[in-house]
Amino acid sequence: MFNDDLRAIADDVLAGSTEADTDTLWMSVVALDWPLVGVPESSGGAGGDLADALELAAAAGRNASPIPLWETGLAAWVLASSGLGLEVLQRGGVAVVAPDQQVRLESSATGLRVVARVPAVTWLRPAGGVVLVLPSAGRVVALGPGDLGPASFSTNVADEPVGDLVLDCTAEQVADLDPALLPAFEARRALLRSAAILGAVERCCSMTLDHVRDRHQFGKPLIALQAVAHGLADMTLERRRLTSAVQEGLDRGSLGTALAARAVAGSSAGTVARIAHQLHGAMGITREHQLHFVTRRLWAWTDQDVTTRYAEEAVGRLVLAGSGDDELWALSTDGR
Amino acid sequence: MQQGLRAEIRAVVAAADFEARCDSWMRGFDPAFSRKIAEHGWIGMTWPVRNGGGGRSNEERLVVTEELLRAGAPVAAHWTADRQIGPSVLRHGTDDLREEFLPAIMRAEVVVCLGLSETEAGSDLAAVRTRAVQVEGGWEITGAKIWTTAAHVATHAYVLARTGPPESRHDGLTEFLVDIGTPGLSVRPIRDLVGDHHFNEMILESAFVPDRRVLGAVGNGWTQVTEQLAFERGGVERYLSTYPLLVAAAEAGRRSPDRAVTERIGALAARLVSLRRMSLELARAIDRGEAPTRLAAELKLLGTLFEKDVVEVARYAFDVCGAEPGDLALLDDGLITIPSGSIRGGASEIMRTVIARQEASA
Ligand SMILES: Cc1cc2nc3c(=O)[nH]c(=O)nc-3n(C[C@H](O)[C@H](O)[C@H](O)COP(=O)(O)OP(=O)(O)OC[C@H]3O[C@@H](n4cnc5c(N)ncnc54)[C@H](O)[C@@H]3O)c2cc1C
Repeated sequence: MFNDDLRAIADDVLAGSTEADTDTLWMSVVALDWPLVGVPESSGGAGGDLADALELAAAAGRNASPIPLWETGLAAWVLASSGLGLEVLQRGGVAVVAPDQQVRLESSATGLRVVARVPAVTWLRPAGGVVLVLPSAGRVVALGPGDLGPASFSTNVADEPVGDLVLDCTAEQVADLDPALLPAFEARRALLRSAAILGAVERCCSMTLDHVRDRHQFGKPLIALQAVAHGLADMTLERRRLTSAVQEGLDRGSLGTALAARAVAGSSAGTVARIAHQLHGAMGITREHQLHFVTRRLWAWTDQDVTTRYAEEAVGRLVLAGSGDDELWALSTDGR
Repeated sequence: MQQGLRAEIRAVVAAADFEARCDSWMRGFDPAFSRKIAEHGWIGMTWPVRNGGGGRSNEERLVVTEELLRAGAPVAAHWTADRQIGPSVLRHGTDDLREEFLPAIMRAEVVVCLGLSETEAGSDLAAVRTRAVQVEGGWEITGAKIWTTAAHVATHAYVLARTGPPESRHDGLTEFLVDIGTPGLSVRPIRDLVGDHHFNEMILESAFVPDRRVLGAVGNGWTQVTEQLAFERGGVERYLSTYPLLVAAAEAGRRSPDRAVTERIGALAARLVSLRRMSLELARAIDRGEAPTRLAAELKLLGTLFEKDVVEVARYAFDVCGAEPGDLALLDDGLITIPSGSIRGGASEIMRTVIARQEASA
């Protein structure tokens, strides 16, 4: 889709993710340097471009891989873009934008003291690193596992770790935040999340197709019933429009198109999970069945990083900013 | 992208005198405007130069069609010929037929209507009963077509007729291009839900069509018409029919800002980005010589769902933010457009069946 060769390899490596031991799975992607894909080699990354990173995010979604694969890559991209080293991300990590009221910075004799309380950070784990992006302070701060205070950890509906970040430490790795980095970060994150959702959507479609072909009722496969076939069609329509939205965001590289993709992703996620479950019947509700690994992710991801509503509002503000339909037309056609 | 071309079209549109409306590609009939479009080389612009065409890409044509519908311009007089009959003549027509039709279409002298549907052949198009019987020098066609848009103002009718035995279904169909003035061909108006006249009954009683007006091969009509439908379904008119209303709703949301209205406009704008991308992919596929039937069905279905939601959001925006003079008339214009969208060109259920079948065989 974004890089077909990588897609095939990634599906190979990530197949069986839901049953794998997560440490082993993480080691195998680290061995391939995948968590640092999309980050220049000159900055310690694995090279490759955003298309490669999106392909990996989609693969992680498709295979419901319980590792912070693209999340780490995004955090690494922030560090590299800010001239910082990637060491804190050795065992994975995340980047978070923290608003003023959650963070206090104080210059002290020994360096920059960071006092922070950021609730509900997905993929915050005792072993992982955190990249704090602080817009008002104009700083980027890299924190390793040792810097994290006593945090409370839980999980979201997809069983992904979620932690409240509680900090009081002296930051060693600090850089100025390039003002242009913030929208670029928001765009990159929106596209990566959309690609991950797309992957999960793809998996829902393929699992549902298999199921409605195999399962017989009324003496025929379910797919022979028109209502069932049309439900399947509606799922693939969501897959289609989301694929196109992400591709457009990738090609254009603007914050507007990335948020548009994110808005589409959020609405597709719910529709696809709903139809997939409906067509799987009771079997799809069981722990034993694989479907929940992807549908629970779709539910969690709909409002992760930013909510879908936020993305819609942001796109709305953008198109209402100009006069007439200037911005709306520019956003959709790329031609003023 | 295509800045120059866009600017040119906008200048032509700005100089013309018309009122922007929804569904302008079906309801906005203005031969003088179509001739102006023709003068700029925007009809038949993708056809090969050796056939007198413009030799430009479908990506460029996308720019032309979307700018015209953006403005709600009256393009109905040339739309069908440019969109599907010209391409069909190009693909399947003899040299004679190409010479007869392509230059005339490009000059906007041909207004063509589509004689596909019949009372007993709607969604089930292969049930067509209109018969063509071979006679000296050509064919005699007898039957009744219905819902034939623009037959009353057309110069020519495209007619899908049965040349095989009555039960031959998909195998016994042939396409014809018939002069609208042919003796035995008559047109009766059908008024639509608001009393407008765009579609018709078209009756053929032993109407003679010369051999040279057979389009493609006798008996190959089904394959050809299926291809034609990819052109019919995959255009920007499947999502831009209510665009003027979307712009009015956005204006309302700008006049008196409201968070929920902003969100809804934003959600529509996001969908528009992906629809437009699908159009671009479709244009590129056609440029590669493919007939992207599935993508066309997907675009039609997603597009008409989008158009429907535009009307709902506009209704909401005018309520919350207030309407300007003209807004409510435009809303009515959109409302009456919506039921057609999911029927004409193939009902949404048929699209879903096409898509599901291809998904299962992929
Ligand atoms: C504004 C407008 C302009 C038109 N212009 C033209 C024209 O220029 N030339 C022309 O030839 N035709 C034209 N048509 C006709 C159009 O192609 C047909 O209306 C369409 O193919 C559906 O046929 P029908 O109306 O007979 O509906 P039917 O086939 O009777 O179907 C009615 C409804 O039943 C359902 N349905 C039907 N079949 C199935 C199925 N297999 N599975 C599930 N549900 C099904 C659908 O909901 C469908 O809408 C036009 C129609 C409209 C509304």
